[in-house]
Amino acid sequence: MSGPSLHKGGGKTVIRSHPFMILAYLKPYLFVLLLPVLRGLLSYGRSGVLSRLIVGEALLALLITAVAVAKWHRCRLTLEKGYIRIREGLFFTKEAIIPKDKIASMYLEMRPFFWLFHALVVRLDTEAGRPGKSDFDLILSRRHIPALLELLPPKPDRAHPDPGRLRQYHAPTLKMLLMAAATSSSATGLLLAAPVINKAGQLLGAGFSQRVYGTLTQAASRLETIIPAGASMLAVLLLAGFAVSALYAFVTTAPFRLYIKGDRFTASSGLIARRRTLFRAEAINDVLIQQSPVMGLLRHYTVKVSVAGYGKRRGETAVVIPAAGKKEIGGLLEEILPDAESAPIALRPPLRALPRFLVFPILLLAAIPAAAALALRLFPAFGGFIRFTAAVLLVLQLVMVSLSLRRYTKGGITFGSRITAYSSKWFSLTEMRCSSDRVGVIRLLQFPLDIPKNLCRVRVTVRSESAHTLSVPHLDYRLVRKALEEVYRVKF
Amino acid sequence: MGLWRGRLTLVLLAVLAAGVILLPFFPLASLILWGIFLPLSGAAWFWYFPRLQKSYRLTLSEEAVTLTRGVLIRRQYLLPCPRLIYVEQFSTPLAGLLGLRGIRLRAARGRLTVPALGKEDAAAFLARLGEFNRG
Repeated sequence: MSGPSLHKGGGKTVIRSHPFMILAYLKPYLFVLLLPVLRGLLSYGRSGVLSRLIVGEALLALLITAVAVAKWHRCRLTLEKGYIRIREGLFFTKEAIIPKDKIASMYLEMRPFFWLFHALVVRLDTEAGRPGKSDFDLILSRRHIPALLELLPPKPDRAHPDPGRLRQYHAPTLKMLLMAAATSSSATGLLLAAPVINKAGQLLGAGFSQRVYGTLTQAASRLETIIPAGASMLAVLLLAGFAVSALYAFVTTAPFRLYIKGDRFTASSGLIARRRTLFRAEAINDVLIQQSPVMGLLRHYTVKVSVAGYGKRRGETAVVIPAAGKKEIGGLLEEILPDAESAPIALRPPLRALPRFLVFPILLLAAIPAAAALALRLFPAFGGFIRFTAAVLLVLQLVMVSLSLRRYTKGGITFGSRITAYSSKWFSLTEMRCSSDRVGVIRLLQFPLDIPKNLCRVRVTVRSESAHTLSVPHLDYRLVRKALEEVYRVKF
Repeated sequence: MGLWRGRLTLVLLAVLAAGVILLPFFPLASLILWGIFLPLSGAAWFWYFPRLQKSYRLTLSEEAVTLTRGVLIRRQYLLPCPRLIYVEQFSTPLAGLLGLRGIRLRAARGRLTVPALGKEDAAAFLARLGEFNRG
């Protein structure tokens, strides 16, 4: 079996994939076929009995492995002048021809096990890909890194005139911990942990999963001294999920370094598996400055960018500044992204829109104790659980009221050569900055109750693979229309 | 047209085989399956596929690639060349045996697929597209 090779000739550089690509092709069959065959063969070694089923499965596994080897042999990346070719597939073949200037980002990952064999995960993304999936996924040898870096050479531009100068930003560990905690959620943690526990159970035997769940039940029973019985298990699960999510976020994103050479950005992160995402400044579609409720308590913000391919992978967030105060962000953005300057908000929600922001959240705030009182009358046996749940919901709803108030006081939009919009996305306050030529669609929405009050909701969607959208509610419709007519020279 | 007829042949063989297997157990179901599928296949073979072949129009200019196709529902696609990100050639086992290639043109949040061109036609199309993009 020949290893990864690099052939140069005729202005072309042909890069063969690493033999680990065979493992990537075999991955879907690992738990359903290969491991059972291995277990069957091991038990044959012990007992000397080989069933027909195991023989059949072993032959099928051999056939699948042969196909995977053949597919690996055909898989190659060819670097030509101005464009690259990627060939994949055995029976269903595919050859993509991509101009080098259309590559939006390149992702390099060095996993510990791969590092021993000089293997590297390489993913290339363009604006044409699907939001959740890389355009091209390869495993190459580490010695191809210099050739790969030539795909995105640093160039001078208006904001970064010297391609030779290297600037760096190292995010402090405490800020990374803060970002990991602020961006984690119990749901994400549980979704991460559950398949890992199940797969570990398959490998180690059924008892493993039971032991994990038993530990959680024990922890829940200890919490019953503080919170009601039904709620303690839920609280333990949520806390465990949050802890897993925060740990995963920290391990995958810390230490975070941003290197800027010319117009090329390299975001480097990861404690165990080192990840690097390379992209050009011109590939940045928009900049998001976000503040989650947790970040809000500490008056910190996170700065993210929208680049095709960056922030796609599980556990990866498309950050350029993980956590910083407002003034620090201003200074850093001026240094690393001078084009992402903010314009003052010109169109803000009028005073008559204030009830729209507050009525619904306050109504919900009043409804929670009323619903809790009703539930207590109907189900007195669950009194403790109902009171605990109502208390948690009240806290969450108070956060929503505070968020709604801030959306009114700070929200708004400015149209022009640069668009700045301030609103919220889920629970986070968000400021979006982009150039007007990156905007895909601007929608003005008026619901039945908006028309008499002359209000509207403005939804800005950026033209990109992941298509960030920010919705700014309850603005004056006539003023928004007038601003759009002036900027885009149209008549509604 | 050879590719579509080839695929229909494979499906026909699978349906016939399924009918033969089911015949001793569910004779009525098998006869109904053949009774529906065989006339439809005949219609596809002699009427639909020739018209589908005739309906295909592919044009390439500096401004855009346009594709027109359809028998019952007529579809027209337009992809502006400046919006084109990259192209992909693809082939299935049957298409490969018949010397055919498909081309997929990818744009941001969209794509245009030209399903079956001869190898020379596909190469000429890509060469012309490359000239326009360089220009």
